[in-house]
Amino acid sequence: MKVNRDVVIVLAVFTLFVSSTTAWYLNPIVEEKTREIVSIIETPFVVLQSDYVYLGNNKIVLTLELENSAMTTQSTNIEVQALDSSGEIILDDDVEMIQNSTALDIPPGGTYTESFTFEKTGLRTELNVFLIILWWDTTQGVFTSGGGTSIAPKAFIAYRSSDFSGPKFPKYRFYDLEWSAVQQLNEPADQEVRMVRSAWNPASSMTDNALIVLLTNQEYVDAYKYDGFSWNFARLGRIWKNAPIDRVRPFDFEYECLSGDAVIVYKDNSTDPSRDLVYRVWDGSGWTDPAYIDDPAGRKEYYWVTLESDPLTDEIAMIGVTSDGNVNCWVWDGSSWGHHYLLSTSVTDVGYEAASIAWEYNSGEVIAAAADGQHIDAARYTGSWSGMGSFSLVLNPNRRTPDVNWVVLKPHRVSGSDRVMLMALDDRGKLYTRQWSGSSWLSLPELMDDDLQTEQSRCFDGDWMPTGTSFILFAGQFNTQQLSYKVWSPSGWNPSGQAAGATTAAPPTGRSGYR
Amino acid sequence: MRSNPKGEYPEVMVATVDSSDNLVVTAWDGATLQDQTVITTETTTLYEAYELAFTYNP
Repeated sequence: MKVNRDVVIVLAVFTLFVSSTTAWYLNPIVEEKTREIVSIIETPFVVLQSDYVYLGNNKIVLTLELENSAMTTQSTNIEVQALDSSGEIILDDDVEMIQNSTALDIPPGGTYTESFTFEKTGLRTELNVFLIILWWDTTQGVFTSGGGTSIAPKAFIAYRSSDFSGPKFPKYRFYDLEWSAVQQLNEPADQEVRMVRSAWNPASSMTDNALIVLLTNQEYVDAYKYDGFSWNFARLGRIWKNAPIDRVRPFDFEYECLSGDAVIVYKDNSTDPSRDLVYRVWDGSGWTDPAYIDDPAGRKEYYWVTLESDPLTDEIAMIGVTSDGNVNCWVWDGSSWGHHYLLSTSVTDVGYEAASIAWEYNSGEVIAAAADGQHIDAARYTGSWSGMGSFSLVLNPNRRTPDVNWVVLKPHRVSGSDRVMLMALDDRGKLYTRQWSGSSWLSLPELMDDDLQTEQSRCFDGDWMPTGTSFILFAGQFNTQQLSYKVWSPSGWNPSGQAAGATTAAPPTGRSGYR
Repeated sequence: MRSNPKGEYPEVMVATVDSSDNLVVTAWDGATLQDQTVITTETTTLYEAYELAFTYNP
């Protein structure tokens, strides 16, 4: 048959395939050819999967899985276009967001999988769908992608920074498979952020809820509640007009682990001797009116407040340090604070967080510890409080007597365990640990390092592994650019004692000294 | 520093502030540290102005 050699326009209407999660995509394809009529047949490849995942707001990963449905080995070119809601290809710096690839020599019934990463500021909002075009010689197929899904965040970090819109705007970033772009909280942004606390709700029906509570540089307590979609702001109260020491943190919050209610406690700004501390509860619909905790020793100015939830009930334990060195403990029973206990009257330097509290996971009992010079004073709550005496961190009595600046207790949150690790940093940069078994202190205090980068800030922390019985301790060694760590297991610390711990690679910023 | 209640990667994450105001998060995979990410280069060393939290999603 004679073929017109002039330009021949062949209108080829293909059967268009879509993955199972989206509607059909029905635009006809116009092929413009010269010289001869070209017969186009549908691609032998079937799209098994084309879902995509949002990584924050700016990055999207499309995973494409193809199957060769033909009886012979086949190949195909792949073109993936990012389309907006108008069906236009999204531009990034005036360049169309299109990616190309090739699947070669796929046997009959064989599959080919490839991930395509698209990145552009605000892409999550701009993207409507991906268009997937497969072609090879005389075959072609056009598909739309499956739906986009968000991976539920695994973690987030809330923080103060001076970048972007400045320190009046609290920042946060979610972590799913990697850290999201920076997000800012824009309301009311009238005071600089100073201290930040944050937590996800542990209650089983509310695990997508989170809370950020911060203290501003004008001493207000601001709360931002996240419901899984948006943030709700509330200014809860004012702690004082001028903080005596910027470093102190006279507020904290915890979630009740069963109900999901959040309980926040902060220092009261008045001089009322019966109103030493304020507490408010997020009860699922709003913040309750302020209620008060009375320190029986009269009017006290709290410098530190730390709360710790019982992971298996709605109880919360609290430890607070006053400006004159008293250490008080209370227990929240789900509706009120009670079971007051005066643990110590002699915290050496109240400018540091030298007290901590923890729930034993298995027993549901509480252990509290506070620094007293070179000693640690401890107490235990088993329905009522009882003192456990004190012990010295310094084993050689002839050595200079240090004062402990920082005390941290970390409970082992694993079924059947009542272990708690105590970490303490003295004012000469010496870091000690000692472990509580649930019924007694195990071994003697162990010196982990005798020269950390600073004792002015808490340049150490540690936690138990989520499974098993290992504990990992991090610290910033003096003049060491890398972050150092040691691991405890039932056979002891590795490396042991004062031996230098392993270190990370240099942090990506390349600067030294951890705080 | 926080331990992942789900027991999956990252098993532990540690957030650090260095003397140059860099806030960095490092992940622990159960054997080694990796995936260091600079969250910001403009936080503060004057007080604890950050907190890291894992979710309890099942």
